[in-house]
Amino acid sequence: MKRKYSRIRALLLDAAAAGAALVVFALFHHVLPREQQALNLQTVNTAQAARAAVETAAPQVTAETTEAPVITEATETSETAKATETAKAAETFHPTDRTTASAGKSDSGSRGNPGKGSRSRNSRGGMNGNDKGGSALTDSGAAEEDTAEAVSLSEKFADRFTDSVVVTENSYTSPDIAVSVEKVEEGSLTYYVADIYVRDITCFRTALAGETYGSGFRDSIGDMAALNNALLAVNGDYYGNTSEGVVIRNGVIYRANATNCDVCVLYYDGRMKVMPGSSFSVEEAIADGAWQAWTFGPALLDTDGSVLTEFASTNRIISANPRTAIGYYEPGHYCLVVVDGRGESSGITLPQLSKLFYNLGCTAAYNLDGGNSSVMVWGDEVINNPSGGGRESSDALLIAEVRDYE
Amino acid sequence: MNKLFHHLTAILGIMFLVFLILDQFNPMMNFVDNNISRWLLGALCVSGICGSVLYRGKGENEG
Repeated sequence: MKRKYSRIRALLLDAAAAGAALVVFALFHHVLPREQQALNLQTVNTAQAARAAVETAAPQVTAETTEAPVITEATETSETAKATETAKAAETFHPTDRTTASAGKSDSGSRGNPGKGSRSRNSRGGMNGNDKGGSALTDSGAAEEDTAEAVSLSEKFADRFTDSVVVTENSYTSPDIAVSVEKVEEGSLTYYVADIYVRDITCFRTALAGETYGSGFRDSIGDMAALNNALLAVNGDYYGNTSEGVVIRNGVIYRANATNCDVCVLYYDGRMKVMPGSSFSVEEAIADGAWQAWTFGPALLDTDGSVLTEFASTNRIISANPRTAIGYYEPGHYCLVVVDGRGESSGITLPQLSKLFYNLGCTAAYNLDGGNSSVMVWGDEVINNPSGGGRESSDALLIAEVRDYE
Repeated sequence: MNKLFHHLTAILGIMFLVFLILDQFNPMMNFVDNNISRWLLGALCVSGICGSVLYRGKGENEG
């Protein structure tokens, strides 16, 4: 009997030691703030590079071309080659000249055409759209790659922007940004859709907690929004939770070791692409002018923008949860969706979220960190009902002015 | 020495069970496949092997 108790006591001591070891592990894994080694490579605005190439060929246009692209030593060769290749397309989107490559592909099916201002509120049909079924993801959101014509975003979204700042309870418009936020309630589901038009891609920013790249740095989304004078903010991919995955923020590459997770890349020219981690190449990202890149996923729409019904993940992840996700319509037009869950709102499954973005009319969509992390801040207040009161995150997506307006 | 490896194996085994359970809930946290976990997994293997060898050696000596 004494020996039996001795064994139980030893097992309990082992369990206690394991608990203590787990606490130490957690401290080193993600609790203690630790600045990480970053690549700190600067990506290049390819439109700028293309303009630079044009300038070289035609010195008479140098008056407009004093802005030299930032090229890192590691990428100079490929960037120069890319610049030469794209010299003919120098009219494409540029944060300063405000022109963009317009997609030649038209929207199909019964969905609205959000890019032309014809989408009605009713087109936000939520979960009622037809399910087209899904197939394996290869590379989505790239429909706009073939530039058909160069159209000024000012002209393209003329009815969206205003000459001065106009603010209402659920919208904000200025010469550079048009954002409207809508709360949608469908039965037991509540979600928030922020419809975003930007004339300058640098208005679509990201913030790092503590303004530092590393693990263990966390801030509330509200604090990050306030610090960056953001109009709108949602949580990002919580990059600090892991030491792997692609992290590009505001044109700076911090990490480029792609995993098997899908990667979402937003480019300087306004395009957004969602690709499998295996397809991500840091050289291509630099050459194509990656402005932001997130690693979380999965992709929510197929290559052709159709609904996905199958996801390579565990049932716990696929099941109904609070969610944050980003949708893409065309260069300059995006949406951010935050779905409440684990409370009065039921949360949403990944297939349902896919269908939601399909019904919104997006051509690509990407799931970001969810659960208690899902927070949307509009102005200076949290407008959704975060599960568990929300939690601090290592990064946030922001919509903020880059110019001062009185 | 044998006892030490037994305890170490039990502790590391419990830790990895916790990692696997947490990984089911939140795989993005990467509990199982990060650098620290890899070292701990190596330690678990070494501890298991050493414990087994010592146990076998002890058994043969007694036998």
